[in-house]
Amino acid sequence: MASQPIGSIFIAADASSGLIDNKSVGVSLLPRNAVTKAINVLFDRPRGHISQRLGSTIIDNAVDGTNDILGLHNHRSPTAANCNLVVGCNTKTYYLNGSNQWTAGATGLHATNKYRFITYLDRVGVMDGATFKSSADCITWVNNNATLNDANWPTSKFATILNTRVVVAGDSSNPDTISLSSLVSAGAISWTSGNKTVQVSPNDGAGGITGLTGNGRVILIFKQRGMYRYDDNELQRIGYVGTPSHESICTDDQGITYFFGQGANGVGFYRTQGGFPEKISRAITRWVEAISASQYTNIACYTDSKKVEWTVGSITLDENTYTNVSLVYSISDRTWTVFSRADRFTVFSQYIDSSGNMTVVGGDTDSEVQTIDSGYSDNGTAIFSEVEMAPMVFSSRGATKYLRGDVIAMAEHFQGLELLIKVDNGRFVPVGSINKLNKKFELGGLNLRGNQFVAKLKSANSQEPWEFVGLEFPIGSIIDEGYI
Amino acid sequence: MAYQAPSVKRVEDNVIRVYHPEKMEPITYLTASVAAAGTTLTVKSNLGFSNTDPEDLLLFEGFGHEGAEIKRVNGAVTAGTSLTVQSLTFAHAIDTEISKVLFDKVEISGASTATGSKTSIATVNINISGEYTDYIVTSTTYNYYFVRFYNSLATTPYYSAYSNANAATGFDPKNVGFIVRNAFESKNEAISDRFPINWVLDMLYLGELDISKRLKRWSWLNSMNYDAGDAATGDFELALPTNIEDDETQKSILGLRIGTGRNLTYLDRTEYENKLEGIAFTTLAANISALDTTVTLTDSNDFEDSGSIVIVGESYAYTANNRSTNVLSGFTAFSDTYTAGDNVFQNVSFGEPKYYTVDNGTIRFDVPVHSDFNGMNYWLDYYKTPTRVNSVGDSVTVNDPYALQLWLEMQVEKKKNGGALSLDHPAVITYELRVAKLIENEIHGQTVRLVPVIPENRILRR
Repeated sequence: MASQPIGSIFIAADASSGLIDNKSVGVSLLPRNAVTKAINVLFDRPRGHISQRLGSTIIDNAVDGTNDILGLHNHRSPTAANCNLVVGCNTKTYYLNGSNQWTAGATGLHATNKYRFITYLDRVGVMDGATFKSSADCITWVNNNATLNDANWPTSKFATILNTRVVVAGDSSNPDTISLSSLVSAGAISWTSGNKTVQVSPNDGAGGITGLTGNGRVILIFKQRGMYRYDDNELQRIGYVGTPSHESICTDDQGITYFFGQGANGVGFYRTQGGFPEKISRAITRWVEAISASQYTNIACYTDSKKVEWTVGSITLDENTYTNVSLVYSISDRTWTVFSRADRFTVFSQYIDSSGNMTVVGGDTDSEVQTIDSGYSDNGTAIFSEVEMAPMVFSSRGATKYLRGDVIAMAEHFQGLELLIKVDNGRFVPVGSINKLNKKFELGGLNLRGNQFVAKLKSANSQEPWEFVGLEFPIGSIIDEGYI
Repeated sequence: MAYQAPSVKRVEDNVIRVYHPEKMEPITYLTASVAAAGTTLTVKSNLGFSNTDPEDLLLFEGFGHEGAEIKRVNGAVTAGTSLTVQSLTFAHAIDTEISKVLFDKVEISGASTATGSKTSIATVNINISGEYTDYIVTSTTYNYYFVRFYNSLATTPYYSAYSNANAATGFDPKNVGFIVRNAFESKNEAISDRFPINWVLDMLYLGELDISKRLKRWSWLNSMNYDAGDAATGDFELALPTNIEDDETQKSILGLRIGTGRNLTYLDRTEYENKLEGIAFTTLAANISALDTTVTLTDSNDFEDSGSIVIVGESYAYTANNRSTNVLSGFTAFSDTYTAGDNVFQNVSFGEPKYYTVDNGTIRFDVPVHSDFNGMNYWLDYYKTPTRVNSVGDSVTVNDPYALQLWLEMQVEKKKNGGALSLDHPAVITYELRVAKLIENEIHGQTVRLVPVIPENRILRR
C-alpha cells in the first residue's frame, strides 16, 4: 500500500477514566480516555480535563525540631476558644494558639508511638498505647478528669464511639480485646461501672486489633487479616480483609475505604459499607505492588469528600523514583491518580480554621503540619507532574505511521507544561513547551515513525496549576505508510 | 580543528540575532525529579559525561523550552545513574532531556572592516528558552559584526571560532544567511534540533550541486584567466584548482596557456604516453648539494645504467645506477643545489609545452618547461564546481539565490515528510519551475557553433 495521509482528525481530549496502568489492563482493552501514568494530576477538575493538583502550605513553622508528627486532631467545642488544632510530637502535644504558633500542651507522652485523639463530651483525649490524658481546650491536659474517667481509661491506641459508649482497643497485653465504657450518665462515662470488654475472635490467626472505626449503628474492628462488626451486642466476623494501619481507614460518602496488606493478590485498597469489602485498586495494580511492605503500617489517608488520598512512601517504577507517593481515589468518578509530594505525610485531620474554612491538614516526618490543597507548590518545592496518555495507533496497529504534520496541544493554563512523544519502545522525544491556549507543534523532522505513539505531558511548576484540554492531530498530519 | 562557529540569522537595525549551537550526544534523561537548587541528578545513564576540564556543559530540556538551562558537570562521574551539577535554577521533572552543549554564552565583536581588528562589545548568555539570542547594539556601532560562542563555565573557559564578518547593512542576497533566513521564515520554521544549521548548510550545498548538474555549462561556473601559478624551468606537472568540476579529464578545462602563448592541446593518456616514449622521469628523493657524488631518486628503475640526468635544465653525468636503492653514483660536481621533489629527467629536451593530459587532479605537459618560460603565468580557463558553504556568512555560487531558497524549502518539507516528497508536491513544482526558468535564461539566445575535429595527420598541408 502506498503511503497516504490518514483522512480523519484524531482527538485525544478526554481523560475521564483517569489512571489505568498497563498491568491492570492490556493496551488493547485500555479505554481511549484513560492514561497509563499520572503523577500529581487530577481528572475531575473539571471532569475530563487533566489538571495539576494544588500544593500544600505549612502552618507556622516546624512543630518540634525534625521529629515526626505522631498525631493530628481538630478538637471542636461549643466554646469557640477551645476549638483548637492539636498535634502530637516528641512526647508532647502542641496546639495552634491565637497567633497561629505551635504551643506545647501535654507532656510525658510516648516518643515514637502514634497519638490518637478523640473528642467526646466536650473534652479531647489523647492515647499513645501507654498513656491517656484529656483536656477541654487542648492547652491544659490532665489524667484525672472525671468526664472521660481519665484515671481508669484503658491502655489503648484507638478509640471510637458506639451508642454513647467510648470503645477503645490496642492494649498490647490484650490485643484481641475491645473495651467499652459505660453509657453516658450525667455527662460522663465510666470505665469501672457499666463498662464491659469484648474479645474479638481471640487468637483467630488474624493478628491483633489494628484499627477501629464507626459505621452507623455498628463499629468496624480491624485486625491485620480480618474485619469484624460489633453493634454493642453481637460480634460478627465479616472476612479476612483487614488492615495493618489504623490511619489507612477513611470514611467517605460511599462507605469505608482502607488498605489491606496481605496475600499475593490481596494487597490493595478496599471499600466496604459494612459488608464484605470489595477491592477498588485494580486499576493501579503496578503501583500497589510497588509499595514497600515496610511502609504498610505507615499508610495514612484523608478524604475531602471528593477524593481519598493514601500516602504510601516512595516508589520506584519503570526505573523512575517517585518520592512520598500517594495513591488517590476519586470518590465520585471512581478513578485513580498518583501524587508524589515533597513531604511524607503520616497523619491527617480535617481542620476548620479560624476563618471557618474546612480544610485538611497533614503531619509529616519533618515535624511540619501543612494545609493540603493549599498554594501552588509543595511548601516551596515545585510540583512535578507527569501524564502518559493512552497509546495512539491512529489506524491499524500493525501499520507504520509517520507523524509529519501538526499536533495542536490545547490548555487553559500551561505553566511550564511540556509535550513529549514516544514511538513504540523508544524514549520520549521533547516536542515543545505548551505556552498558549492552542499551541501548534510541527512534528515533521522529529522522525516520529512507528506503530504506536504515546504522548506525554510533564511539568515542574510552582505557579497556578496547569489545565490540559487535549491533543488534536489534523487531517493529513499522519501518514499511514502501510505494513512495512 | 576549531569549535563550531556561530551562525548569524540577521544583522539589521542594530540587532544581531544568533542561532544556538547544536546540542550534542550523549543524551540522557532524568529518572527522578530534581528541585530548584538541586545539585544531584538521577539519570538513565551518565555514560559519556565528564567532569574533566573543560567539564561538560549540560543542557536541560532543550533549546526553546521553558525551564531550559545550562549547567556544568560539577563532580566526578562514576559509571552509573548519578550526575553532580552546579546548583540548578529551575526544577525539572522526570523524563527531562539532558544533552551536552559546548557553550553557554555568545560574544559579540565589531570591526570597521571585514578583516579589521575586532573589538569585543559584549558577552551575553545564550537565550536558551528562545529560538535564538538577540543582542541590541546600543553604544558604538561598527561596519561589521562578528560573533563567537564562549564556554564560561568550564574551569578553563574557551571560545569557538569567529563567525564570518556580518555587515551592519545586512546580508547580501547571495549570502547563505539571507537564503536560509528567508527559506525558514517562508516555512514558518526555525533553525532548531529538528533542522540543525549544519544540516541546512549541507542541504544548501546539495542544492548548488543539483542546479549545477542541470546543464553541462553554466556561465557563472566558468572561471576564466585563472592564474594557476608561475612557470619554472623543468615543470612537468601542474596542479589543477581544487574547485574544478572534473579533475580526472579535460572536460572542465576550457583553455590552458603559458604567458601570452596559445592554448595547449589536450592528448588522451594513450597519445600522451606515446609522446613520452624514451623519456625517464622521476623526482629527487633527497636534497643535492654542490659536492655530492650520488643522487637518490624516488624511483631509478627507468634510468639507464649510466648516462646523464637533467635537473632544472642542467645535465649531469653519472656512472652507476643501483636500482635496489634508487641511487645514481659517479657524479663529479653539481652547478647548483637541488631540493627533494625536484623533477629529474633523462633523454629529454626542455621546451615549450604544446600538449597536455590530465591525471588525478594534475596537468602533465608533453615536455618540461624551458627556462625561456621561467616566471610566466600558467593561465587556466576552467569550469568550476560550487564551493561548499560552511557558514551563513559564505556566499553561494549559484547565480540565483531564490532558486536555492526554494530548494531549501523543499528540503525542509521533505524532512518533515520523513524523507519522502512526491514530484507533484507544490514545493517540488515551485523549485523545478524556477530551475527551468534559470536554464531557459542561460541558453536563450545562444548560438551553437560546430567545430569539426580533424586528426592532425589528416590535415593536408600545401
